[in-house]
Formats: sequence, structure tokens, C-alpha cells
Amino acid sequence: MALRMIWPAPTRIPLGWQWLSLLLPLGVIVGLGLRLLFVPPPPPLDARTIGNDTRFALSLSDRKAIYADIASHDAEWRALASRFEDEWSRHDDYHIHVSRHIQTLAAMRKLQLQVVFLIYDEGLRRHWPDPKGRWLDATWVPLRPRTH
Amino acid sequence: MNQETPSQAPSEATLPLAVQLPDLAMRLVGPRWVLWLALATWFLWPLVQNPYQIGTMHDAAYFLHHAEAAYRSWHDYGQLPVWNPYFCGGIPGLGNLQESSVSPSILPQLLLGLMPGMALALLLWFAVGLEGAWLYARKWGATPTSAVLAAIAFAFSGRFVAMFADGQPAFVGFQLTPWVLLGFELGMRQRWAAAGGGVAMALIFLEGGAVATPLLGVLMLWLLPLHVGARALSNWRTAHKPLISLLIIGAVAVLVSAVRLLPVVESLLRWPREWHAEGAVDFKMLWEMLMVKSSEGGYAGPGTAYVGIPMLVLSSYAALRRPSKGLPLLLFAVLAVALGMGDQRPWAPWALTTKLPILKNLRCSFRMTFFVTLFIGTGAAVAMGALQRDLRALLAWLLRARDAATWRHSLAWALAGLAALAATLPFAAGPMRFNRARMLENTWEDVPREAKLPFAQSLGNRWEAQMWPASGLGSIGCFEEQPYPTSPLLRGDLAAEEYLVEPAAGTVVRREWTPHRIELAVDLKKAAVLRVNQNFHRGWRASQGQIQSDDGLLAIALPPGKYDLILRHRDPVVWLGVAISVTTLLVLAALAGVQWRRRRATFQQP
Repeated sequence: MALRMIWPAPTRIPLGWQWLSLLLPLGVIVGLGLRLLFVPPPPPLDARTIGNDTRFALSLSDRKAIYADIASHDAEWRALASRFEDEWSRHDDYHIHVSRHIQTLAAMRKLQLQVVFLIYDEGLRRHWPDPKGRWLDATWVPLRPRTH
Repeated sequence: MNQETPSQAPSEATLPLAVQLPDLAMRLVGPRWVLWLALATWFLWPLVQNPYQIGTMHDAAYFLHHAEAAYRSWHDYGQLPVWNPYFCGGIPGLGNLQESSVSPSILPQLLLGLMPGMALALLLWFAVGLEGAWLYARKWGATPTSAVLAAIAFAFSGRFVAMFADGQPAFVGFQLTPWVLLGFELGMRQRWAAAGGGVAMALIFLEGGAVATPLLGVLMLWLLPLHVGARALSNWRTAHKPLISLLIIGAVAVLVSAVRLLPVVESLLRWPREWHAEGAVDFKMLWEMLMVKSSEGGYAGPGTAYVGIPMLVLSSYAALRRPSKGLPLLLFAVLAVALGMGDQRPWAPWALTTKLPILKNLRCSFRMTFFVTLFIGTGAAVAMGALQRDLRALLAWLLRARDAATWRHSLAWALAGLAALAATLPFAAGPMRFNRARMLENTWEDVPREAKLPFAQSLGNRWEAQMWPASGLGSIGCFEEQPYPTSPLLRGDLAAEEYLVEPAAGTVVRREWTPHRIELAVDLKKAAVLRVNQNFHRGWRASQGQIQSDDGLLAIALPPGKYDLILRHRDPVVWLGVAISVTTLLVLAALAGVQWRRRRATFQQP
């Protein structure tokens, strides 16, 4: 079908209108920003030790028990990680087990994951003994990235 | 059939505004952006509803860790995040290829806070992607309403949902793809457009990650011979213009992103990134990623780049109906698929590309599907535009609207517009609804709470890396794709992070700690070596004594006496990059101003 048409011109939009119209999305962006700004953030975590060695509303003995629970698996996780040849991968694998166990522990005790990690950190830092009376190693090996 | 062009349209006759409304609304920048923002908000609703959550894949933890570290440096200490003391015992910040610490996304973070700012930045990236794909489709001849198809097919494609599922927010940089391609294609006629494409490329690089920039670069390298060939066939004198455009894009991108590029290059030269590329991806896998609606998900599973068969059919129709537009787009899509298939054959484009030393570490070729969705979507928009024009002409013919602007023209225009809109909506809704449903299916977890502990290295855990900077601690346990030097002397159980090798030599007390400046009160009876529980880096300077590496640990040989010791991290490579980037931006702004004045003067001439 060959049609020779003369179409009316589409309305030309003056440049001033284009600039003026930008106020609309700017308003929307401000509105979105305000909406996001007013979503209440999670309250800060008070990580101070207060009173009679209480931290995260847990007594020292409770925290030590949590740490001991994690530390008691140390030998088991190191044995599992020994399947890797290089030392960095062994460390990394060990930490997968630590992470998974802490997640389980946090869910079981209805604690925040971050709180259990910080208790683990406290135990390492304060050299709390594991159930066999030893300190856990708080070092890492030089970074050796995987290539796959 | 005719295609209306400005030369065919008499300027004295205009259509009633009412019948042009859909087109006018899309041609006006403001309402169009409102539409993009509304669509992006709807698509990314989980982030708008609660910005304080991240995906559960561990890459999300890695990227949030780096974002937190950079945010702390910017926000809490007012410092450019050149050094990241929160990971691996201290590694380069800006020099890390994965970092996004100088991306434009930082600005909303500084205004609103880290997580709300990240959410707003993501919304804006999506809106920018929608706008870019719309403009790209318009450049290829789509009508204002039909170009919406391209915007939705690309910016809401399944790969951008996979980005959240896989926890890799840096992939949002791909949203600038159409802007770079626009710069490339328009830059063959106007150099300022190529410069704009270069700025877009720089922004992709600044957004971080090791994927978007090289993949787009590879695509453009392969598009170059196609454009050169097409021009050589039509007018060989202009065959060099695609190369000029690409060179301008490259040069501007390098100069604008120098603030990050220089430290990254230095870091890559010193600690090369070694990733062994995987082999081939079969066509079936790519087809299923792009065309099959499946809830299976996975890293590259069916539906993870979903754009849909209807879009492909429309795009193919464009190749038939408007071959000058549709065929090249289809060819570009085929090229992106061929690249996406990886090392299928020794002569496959991907296999040839990865023979270049600088690109030998390229991997995950299936991510080329980002580009496939853009080309298919653009083809679909061109086809829908052609259908709209055909229908309009047919209706005008049926209504005998031939010679002047009459109500018959208006009716034909309005009916064709409504029909195109009615046809565009279901085509757009298919991929948009499917991909949004996948977005809603993502699993999220709360981000860690802020705990302002005095900085210390912790043994940490890279599998929950986001916990540590939020708590004010560093994580010695870490993973990076580059073998940054880390010291075996790092410890996560020290009473003080700055300590004397020989404690009896005196005392050291921390006065102030920031990521790039540590102030200590030193009182030594005799010369001693001070260790700082961070990795050594050539950027560290000391106000007293001699900086040294003690088995990779930062150490300072100090003289006896009582004095304040100030350690500063300053990397001249970074500051050279800052100077180059800022100067380039100023020059580009000045050139843009001159261009703007010239264009205004041209328009104002009678």
C-alpha cells in the first residue's frame, strides 16, 4: 500500500517547558528520599560492658557458655577443613563452619547474629578457654585468593 | 507506506493537543522521569519498604562490608577512602577493583545515611537505565510511546533481578549501557556525544565491580567493525568515524575515572588478579535464561535474564518491516549472544577476546545477556513504532484524510496511538511482572546494627563480612580476588592495636584513631619498634622515626623520648588521579557550556 500523506506536525515543545517539567521528577526524588529517610533504622547496638560484667543483656557466664559452645567444635571443624591442601583454604573452610554454627546458635537462643559474633570476638580477645582449657587461635594466614 | 518526517509535516498545521497527549507526555522530560521513578519504585518495592536489609547470598555481605567501610571513612571521618583498614588487616580502598567508594551512589548515602542512600541510589540508577534505553530506542526510530518497550525490556530484565539475588549491587552500572552506546553511535556525527558516552563509561567504572566495564568494552570492540563496515559500504570516507568515536569515549572515560583508575591499575600491576575463565556456555542455556519463565533461578538458570519470546518476535518483525533499523539491532543481539556463548570454538568471539592479555581473566560470558535484552527490547520498540505508524496511515487512508490537518487526521492519530498503547502494555507487562515477582521472591536479612566500638582488628569472618565495620571492628579473616599482601603477624586478640615489640622500652597510648590518621602518645626510655596491627603499605607516613614492614605488618622504628606520633596514610597515586579527574570534569563542563551557547545562538538565528 503506497500512501502519500501529509501529516500535521507534532507540537514542538519549547525548551523552557522541558526545564520546568524537571521540577516534577525532582519533587518525586525528594519525596522518595524523605520516605526512605523516615523508615526507622535499627537501633544502635550497645556493645559496652556494664554493671556486673553484663553485655548485650547477658551475664558473663551466659556469654562464656555461648563462646564455649562455639569453641567446643574447634577440633572437629579443623579436621573437616584439613581436606584442603593450602592453609588459606583450610582457614576459610573453618570459618564457614564457625559462621554456620553461629547462625544456628543465634536462632536457637533468639539472639541477633551480630551479638553472637561479638561474643565470639570477646571470647577470643579475653582469652576465654575452650572446654579443654585452651585458647583459640586468633590469627589468620596471608591472603591467597582462589582462582576459580 | 509513508513514514512521517519533519520535512513532510507542514509547520502551520498541528494536531490538537488532546490527541497527542501520550506522545507529548513521553516527549516531556519531566513526566517521563516521573514514570521511570514510579516504575522503579514499584519494581524495587522491597528496598523502598525497608532499606535496612540485604540479600542473603554472601557476595551481598562482601559488598556491604566495602560500602560500610567506605561510608565510615567518608561520613564518620571526612576522609577519602584510600585505605580500608576493616578488611584483611588493611588493604587498598580506592585501588580495589571491587570498590565503589567514589561512585555517584555515595552522594545519596551521605545525605540520607548508608542504607537509605543506597536504596535511593539504586532507584535512580534504574530510572537512568529506563531513560537511557528509551532514548536509545528513539535514536533507532521508535515512537515516544513504543520506546517504553525498550526501556522496560532492558532496565527490568532478569539480570538486574539476579543482581539482587546474587548480592552483586555493582552490576547496577550496566544500567548505563544505553547511554554509552548512544554516545558511541551519535559520536560518529557529533564528538560531544562521544564525550558524553565516555562520562557514562567512567561512571560505570566508578560504580565498581570487575564486570560491567570490561564486558561493555568488549561488546563495543566487536560492534566497531560492524559500524565501520556499514559506513564503508555507504560512504567509505566516513568509515573511520566509529573508531574516532570509540577513541573519544575511551579517552574521556580514562580521564574522568582517573581518581579510581590510577590506583586500580597500580594495584593490579602489583597484585595481579588471577581468575581462570570457565569454558563454553551452550545456546540452550542462554535461550532459557532469556526466554523461559521459570522460578528455578540460580546463578545463570532459566529466566535469570528474562525478556521473553513476544519481545523477540516483535524484534524480528522490525527486521522485516524496517530492515534499516531492525536488522542491525538483530545483528547486535546475535553478536551479544555469540559473545555470551563463551569459548564454544577457538575462533568464537569470546575465545578471541580473552586472548588479549588485559582481558584474559574475563569470565561468566553469560552476562552478555544484559546487552541482548537491550537490543531485543529496542528492536521490539522499533517494530511497535512501525505498527503504530502503519495503523495511523491505514486509518487516515480509510478516513480519507489526505491533504490538510482535519479532524480525520486527529482521529486516525488518536486511534493508532491508543491501539499502540494498548498493544505496548501487555508486551511490556510480561517481562516486567515476571521479573518483579522474582524480585519479591528474593530472601532478605536485616543489616547489622551500628555499634561504635573503638577500632580494633578482630579475627572476624568473611562469610558475614558486613558485621565488622558496622561494629567498628576490622575482620582479619577475608577474601579478595587479588592477592593483597597480608601479614601473618596480624592478631584478633590484642589488648592494644599499637604495641611495642619490647614492652619494657616504654609506653604507647592511642589518642585518636581514624582510617587514615592515627595519633599516639609515645614515651620511650630507649629506641624501640612500634607495631600497628595493620598491614604495611607504602602510603603510610610517620611524623617520627622510620616506617618499615615487619613481616608485612606496619611498624615504625622510633627514637627514645616523649612525643606525639602521628601516622598518616597518603597515596600520591590517588591524589594524582583526583587532580586528573577534577581537571577533566572542569574542562568538559566548560566545553559543554560553549556547545550550549553555540546551539542556542543557532536556534535563535531567524
